[in-house]
Formats: sequence, C-alpha cells, structure tokens
Amino acid sequence: MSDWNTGTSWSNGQSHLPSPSPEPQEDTFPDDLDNDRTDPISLLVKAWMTERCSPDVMSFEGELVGKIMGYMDAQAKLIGVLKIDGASEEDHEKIGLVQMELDRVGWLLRSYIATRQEKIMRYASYINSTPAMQTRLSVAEQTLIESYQQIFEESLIRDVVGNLPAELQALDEILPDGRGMVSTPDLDKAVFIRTKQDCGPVLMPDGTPLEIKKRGIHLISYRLVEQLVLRGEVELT
Amino acid sequence: MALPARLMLSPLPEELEFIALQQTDILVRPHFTMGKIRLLSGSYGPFRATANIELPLWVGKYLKQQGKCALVPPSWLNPDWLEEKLKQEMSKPEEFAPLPFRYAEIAKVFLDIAPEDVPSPERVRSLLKDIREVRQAKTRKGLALVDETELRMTGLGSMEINELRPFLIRAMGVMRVLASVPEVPGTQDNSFAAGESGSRMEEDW
Repeated sequence: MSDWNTGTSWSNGQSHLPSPSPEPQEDTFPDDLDNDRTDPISLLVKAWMTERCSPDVMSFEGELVGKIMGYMDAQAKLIGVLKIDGASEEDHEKIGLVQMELDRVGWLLRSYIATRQEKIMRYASYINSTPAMQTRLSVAEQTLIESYQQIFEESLIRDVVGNLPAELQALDEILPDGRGMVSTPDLDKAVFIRTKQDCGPVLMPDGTPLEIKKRGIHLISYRLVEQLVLRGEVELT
Repeated sequence: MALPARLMLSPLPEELEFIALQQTDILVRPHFTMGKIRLLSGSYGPFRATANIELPLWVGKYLKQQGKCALVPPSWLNPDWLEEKLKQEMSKPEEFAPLPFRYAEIAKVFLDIAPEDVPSPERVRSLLKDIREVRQAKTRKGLALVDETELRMTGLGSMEINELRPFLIRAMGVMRVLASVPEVPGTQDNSFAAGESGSRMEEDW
C-alpha cells in the first residue's frame, strides 16, 4: 500500500499534455470523503443517497430543501434579468453554467422527494399510526399519506374486504408466521456503509465487537449502524 | 411522482456518475477569460486563459463540451500508475488495491469527453478493464464469505458496490431468515414476504 510515488514518468515526452495534479497522498485520494463538502448541494446529495440506501424513512431535510429552493429562485431571477438587459458574451457563458446547475439541482430535488414518496406511501399505514414516524415527514408529506391511505382503505373496503365475513375484515392483521398486513420498514436489512472516521466497535448480535476503521466499507444490518448513520460518522453508499 | 420501485433496489450507474460529477474537484485549464461566477455549490473564478483552476467535475465537463477548456486528469489516471495497481491487484489475491472510491465514474467521464487530455487513453482504457476483471474475480471468491451478519468489503469502488448490491442485500436477507429461529420463518422480514421474492432475482441477474 505504499508505492504511490511510482509511475510518474508518464508525462515524459508528452509535454503538450496538461501537467498532472499533485500525487495522491499515501492511502488517500482527494475524493468526496476527504474534502467533506458542506455546501448545500453536497449536503442534498448525501441526504438523497442516504434516503435511497436506508431501509427506514429518514427525517425530511426541510431546512436544507427550503434554503436550496430559495437559492434556485434567486438564480432563476438573475438569469431573467440578464436576459432582458441583453447579455454580453461573458454573461452568456455564465447564464449557461447557472442554467445547467439549476437543471442538475432541480433533478436532484425531484429525485430526493420521489424517493421519500415511494417509501412513505409503502409504509403509509404504519406511519399514520406511529406519531414518532410522522415527525420525520414534511407537512406536505403528511397530508399526502393521510389522503392516500384514506382513498386506499375506502377502495379496499368497498371492493374487497367489505364483502368478506366480519372476522376477515381487519386491515392490520398479523399472520401467525409474523407477516403483517401493515408494512413496516425492515431495519435489519443489509446496507453498504462507508466510514468517514474510525468508529468505536459495533456490537454484533452474537456479542462480538466489530471494529469499523476509517475508509472501511462493510455490508451490515442497518439496525446495527443506525446510530452511526444518524450521527453522520458513516455514510450509506 | 414516487420513484419507480426498481430504482429503490439500487441506484443507476448514471446516478452514481451524477454524484461523482458533483462531488469531485478537478483541475481545468480554460481557453478563455471570465470573471468570478457564483453557483449554488460555491464561487468559482476568475477564469484566466491557460491558468489552471480547480472546479467541480460537472463544470469542467460542461466547459470541455463547449470546447472552452482542457481537463487535467487526476494523477492516478495514467497508464503507469494503473499498471502498477494492476500488478498489485494480481500479486495480492486477498485484498483490493486502493483506488479512488469513484474511480470508475471519473475515468469514464474523462475517457468519454476528454480522451485527448488523458495520456495514452487507449492503454488507460484497457488497463482499467483489466483491473476491473481482476477485482471482479476476487469479489466472486469473496462471495463465499457472505453470512447473515456482516461482510467487510474495504477497497471496493462505488460502481463495484452497486453491481453487487441487489444480489448481496438479498442474499444476506435470505441467510438471516435461514439463521433465525426455525419455528417462526420469515419473522419481521417484509422483503421476504410471499409474492415479492422469487421473480426479482431473475430481473437483477
């Protein structure tokens, strides 16, 4: 693991090429784990990836989303003003970049919201009956699943359950084998984690401690690392 | 609109590329002059012709596609370094040679849009392919170690994880069910509920 410094001779005789970036430090690369970005877009990328990879419904990043929407509005207005005033060539260049970023961030926001929507609709009935889960949702999301569940249950009762004997009409029955009619997030599901720092040992179900080192990548049950994920010490990936 | 269920299983390669474009900084050599620009992810500039400037990869990609700059490849994206890694990869059957986490995505962007900025792009391409194959062979051997609790996969890149994800997560779920108390099969495991399993496996593979 210590031979980073070999292999620099590639630029010999190829001086027309741009000079190489600095050599990677031993064991590290300047990738997104190192320069731990804190700009709002990077935070949204992380929230989006966490939501995609976690079996649970995470807390809605309302403040962040609100902030980004505000910025996007401001940037869009700026483009409008520049276009009306007749843009110079340099302005044209800038408009292109700003527009490109607006498109990218808009897509990211939509995907983040859509990911949450898929989950909350799947677990609507569980969330509606669990106040602790509701605090993780935005107001719009709460409204959505309340009306979603109402429509869903009405249709189920009208078309199916209503025609069954009374003892089979429950919508929240749990079968003897443990499968329930109400879907709940499976917190034991395995996730891929990538660690930002050395973490204390995680206690495995059989009682043995598991050391999680910096830059480690593990496939592990979400329940075991939930606290590390919430504290931001490990990333879901 | 809610996200299609198949996308919940695993992100698309394009989505991982999106992350790499957003989260990676590279050096860019502009062919033009422009004042400072404020974007949502930060302020960049001023741009001066031929003076290298550090920018997010997506900005570099955008400018490159307009023919307005040359990209400076990261130090690991050259044939000699990759050759060294390939040797290392083959000489140590037990571990993965350390590569940048998003090496596959970043290399793809460079080879797609700026092959003329990469030293010996064809060799780089074939070395990356060789490295990928050696690593895949190791991963296949590593699958024997899967159990229901934990699997250490340090050294894998994000694209490699993504390829394995649907299979490994499912495999671990199945092993968890097999290892759980025998008289109550399927406890708490929604994903294993009848109707949801079965057909998925073939879809993914």
